[in-house]
Amino acid sequence: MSTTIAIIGGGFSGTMVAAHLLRKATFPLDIKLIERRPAIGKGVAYGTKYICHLLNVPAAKMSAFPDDPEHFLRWVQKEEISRGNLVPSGVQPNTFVPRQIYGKYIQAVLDEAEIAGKENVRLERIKNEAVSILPDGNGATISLSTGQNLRVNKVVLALGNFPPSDPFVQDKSFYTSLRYVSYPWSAQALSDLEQDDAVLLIGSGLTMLDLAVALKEQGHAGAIHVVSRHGLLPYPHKFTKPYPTFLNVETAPKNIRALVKLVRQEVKNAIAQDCDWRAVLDSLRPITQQLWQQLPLKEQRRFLRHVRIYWEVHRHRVSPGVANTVSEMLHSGQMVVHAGRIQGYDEDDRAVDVSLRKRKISHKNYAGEESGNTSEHEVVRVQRVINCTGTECDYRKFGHPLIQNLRSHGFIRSDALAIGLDVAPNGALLDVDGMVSQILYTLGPPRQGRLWETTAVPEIRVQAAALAEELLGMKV
Amino acid sequence: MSVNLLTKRLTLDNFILEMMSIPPQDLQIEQLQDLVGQLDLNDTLLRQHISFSDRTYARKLLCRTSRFDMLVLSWHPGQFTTIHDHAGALNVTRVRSGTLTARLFEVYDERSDREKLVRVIDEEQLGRGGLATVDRHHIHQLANTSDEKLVTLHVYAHPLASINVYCPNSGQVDRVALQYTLEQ
Ligand SMILES: Cc1cc2nc3c(=O)[nH]c(=O)nc-3n(C[C@H](O)[C@H](O)[C@H](O)COP(=O)(O)OP(=O)(O)OC[C@H]3O[C@@H](n4cnc5c(N)ncnc54)[C@H](O)[C@@H]3O)c2cc1C
Repeated sequence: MSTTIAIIGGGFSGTMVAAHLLRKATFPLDIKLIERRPAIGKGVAYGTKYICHLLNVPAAKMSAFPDDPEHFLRWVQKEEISRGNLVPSGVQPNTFVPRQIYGKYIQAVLDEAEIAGKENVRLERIKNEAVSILPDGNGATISLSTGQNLRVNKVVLALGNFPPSDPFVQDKSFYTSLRYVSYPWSAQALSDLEQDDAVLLIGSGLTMLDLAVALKEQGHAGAIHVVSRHGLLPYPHKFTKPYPTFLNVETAPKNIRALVKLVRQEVKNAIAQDCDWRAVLDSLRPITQQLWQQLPLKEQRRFLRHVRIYWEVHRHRVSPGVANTVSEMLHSGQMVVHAGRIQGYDEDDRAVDVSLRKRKISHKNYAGEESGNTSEHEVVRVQRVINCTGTECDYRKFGHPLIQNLRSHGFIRSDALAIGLDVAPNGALLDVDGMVSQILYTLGPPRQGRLWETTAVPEIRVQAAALAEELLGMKV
Repeated sequence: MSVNLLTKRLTLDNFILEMMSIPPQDLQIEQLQDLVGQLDLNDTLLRQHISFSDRTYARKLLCRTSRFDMLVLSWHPGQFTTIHDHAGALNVTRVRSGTLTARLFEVYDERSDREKLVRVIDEEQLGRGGLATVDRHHIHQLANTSDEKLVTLHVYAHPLASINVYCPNSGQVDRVALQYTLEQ
């Protein structure tokens, strides 16, 4: 009798679990990889149609395999001839490659694992949507939206990133307008725009930058307004010499204020030694998950409230190429960044007036200009508004039938911070009573509450390899 | 959102007048498609009928005449209809925003009037402005298999009193009377 493992979601996380199962299984195994999108492997991140959407991690750090760090680099260099001129000067370790290419890479990794796999280890790609899972004593029954049921032994929820929620305003009626795009990755987010239309992007993180450079790529000439609470943009990458680890997990403070103070101090020291602040932050990466886990809940909350926004712009940096493009848009005045909140919308036949309540703060943006505190209120008149506020991760809010079904039966629960799902160290999900499941597992973004650092390839690849071993019973 | 969609307008009033001018027995699916395709998708009344529900996709009756029903359906990602036919009514669906998955089924094993096994024979994805037509006896299913919310506009001629629902596992066919959520 063969074992059946279902993986729901064929983005990077799910595809990599499948690839590792194919490589490592030593007994008869059926792998069912269920993905609702037309293409397996790409997910939201690598399914983009825009060439200007680059990875925000250099090629040398994007291997799918933790034990073979150069794997992606070798692949992309070998494949370069067939890549045409997508990367004109050739791919170096420090090149930021178009995300489209990375999507092809993941597909190639899966295809290769499938070909190399043993005869009794089979992969079935199922293009469908899972709408419910009913676990029982020795497995689970998964229902698909076309009505079929699948009987399996274990299930991996690799559901990834969810769409952003609509920003809060008193009168929500504008959110039904055709001028409003609630989902920034919508295929139609930027279609049918007049060249001179003014656009408002809500949010100023990586998603906003994606939309801004895509507008540029399609020759958009109209004004681009950006609004976010702090008006902070992600910093660009810069290659610097590494900085030695300065924090020890055991002795590190267990409160946020002291931690932030230490890091600030270290940045000063680094600068005095002609080192960049980026190197200081990067030195924390190997221990970030441990530092996070040893913080009391109260301190984790404090981090989310006060530090998160600064952490994100410093830690999740953008490629220098994208930063340059955006910097030019700021210099030319095409892009204007507002720090503040949206108060309301007033739509007529030709446009919408968006009223902003601005914050009294200022800081330097890419263009070296102060942004922030010109006036208390401002009204911007635009033809389109796009929600770029970043993925929603509060599982209590999701109306998706699958999540609802799992939630209502008590098979899953949010973590204490409601930024993901409650999971055991091995990736097994906890039910509403805190019991560790023997059937349901997850990886990637849903593990955020437990690990904080869990959404990028360098973290997910480690989880995928470990989870495959866990599922195959290879862990002692 | 397109310039087209915002400027090409057939008001609801005019749509009703056009529909009422065609004798029901003469109405062709192409005519219905043409008229639905011209409707103003940013219409205020239509917008007032958009409302999402966590339990299942929300169906709101926008207007009913002796000859047709017009409904607005709002779908969260993952929501889907049963597999059904419209018991003789013509149907045109237009995507207002988001992406609609429309699946067409065929009966491959007809055991009796009330027991028919069906399978998917076609699936298409329709973007904003896209039209899906369902002829009088087609068996179909609509779903939002995308990551974003979906709003669709549906016209049924004749008004829909009941549909036939096909169970994909048992093959059982049930006639189901329809109920609408009226404007609150
Ligand atoms: C725009 C963007 C750019 C990014 N760029 C980078 C980068 O450059 N470098 C980096 O390291 N990280 C990047 N990331 C981080 C990203 O989270 C990870 O790299 C990785 O792609 C996450 O993969 P995932 O499989 O967990 O999630 P996703 O890519 O979101 O995949 C989840 C998949 O599950 C499917 N699915 C969900 N529910 C169901 C269901 N019920 N039935 C069937 N299928 C379902 C979805 O269709 C989707 O394809 C980026 C993220 C985003 C959003």
